[in-house]
Amino acid sequence: MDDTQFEALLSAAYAEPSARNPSPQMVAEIMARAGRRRRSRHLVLAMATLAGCVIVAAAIVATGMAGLVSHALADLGPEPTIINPSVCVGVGFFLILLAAARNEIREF
Amino acid sequence: MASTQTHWPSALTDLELARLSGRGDREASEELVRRAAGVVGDLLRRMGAGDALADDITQDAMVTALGAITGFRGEAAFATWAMRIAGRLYLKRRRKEARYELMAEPVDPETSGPSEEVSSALRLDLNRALAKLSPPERLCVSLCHGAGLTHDEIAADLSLPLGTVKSHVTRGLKKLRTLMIGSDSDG
Repeated sequence: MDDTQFEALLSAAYAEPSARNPSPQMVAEIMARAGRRRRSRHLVLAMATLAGCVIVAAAIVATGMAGLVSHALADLGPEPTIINPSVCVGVGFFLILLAAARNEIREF
Repeated sequence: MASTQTHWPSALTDLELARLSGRGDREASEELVRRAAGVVGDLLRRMGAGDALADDITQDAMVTALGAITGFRGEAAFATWAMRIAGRLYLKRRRKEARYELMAEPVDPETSGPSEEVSSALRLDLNRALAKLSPPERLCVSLCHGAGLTHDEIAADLSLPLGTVKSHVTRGLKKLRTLMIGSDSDG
C-alpha cells in the first residue's frame, strides 16, 4: 500500500458512519437554532431594505425641498451682486504707493 | 410518488436534501443533521475535544452548515462539508491552546508514539491508533485528513509556520501507518 492509498483509506475511515447517532434532543436543538438564525437573518434583511427605502425617500424629499427653497429665494428679489475684487486691489496698490512715497520723503 | 413518500427523506441524496433544505424544508434539514452530526462529533473527539466541547461545536457546525446550505454543491458528502466547517470552528475555539500545542518542542519520533511491539497481526482501528499520537499530531492529521483542510489553511488559521504543520502531519501519518497496517514502508 503506497502513501496515496493509505491516505485515501484514512480519509474513508474518518468519513465512516458514526456509531453514535445524534440524540433527538440535539437534532431538535440544532433545528431550533437554525430556525432562529434564519428568522433573524430575514429580519435583518427586511430592516436593511426598509432603511434603504427610507434613505431613498428622504433623498427624494430633500431634493424637492431644496428646489422649493431655491425658487422661494429667487422670488425674494434680485440676486446680490459680487463686489469686483479689482477695486480692492487698486485701492491697496494706491495705499502701498502712498506709504512708499512717505518713506522716501522722510528719508530725503 | 407513493414510493418516494415511503422512503422520504432517507432515500434522497445529500444534494437533493440540501436543495429542499434551502427552500426551508424542515424534514430535509433534520435528515442532513442526522446524517452528518455523528461523523462530525467523531472527528472533533478524534482531534482531542471532550464530549461536551464536541457536542457544542457539532451543534455550531450544523447550524452554520444549514445556514449556508445554498452554497453546498454536492461535490462531496454533506458530512464531509460539515466536517470541514467543524474543523475550522474547532481551530477558532481552541486557537490559543492549539497554537501552543503545535509550537511545543517536536516530540522525538524515536521515543514517542507506539510503545508496544507492532506486528503485522496488530490491527488497531482509527480511534485507538489516533490515541497513540501526540496531541499536535492527532490534531494536524485529523484537520488534514478528516476535516479536509490544507496545510496552508491550518498554518494560516493558527498563524504558524507551514513547516511546523507539515512536520506534525508527516510524523502523525507515519505513526498511524505503522499502527494501522503494521508497516511504514510501501508494499
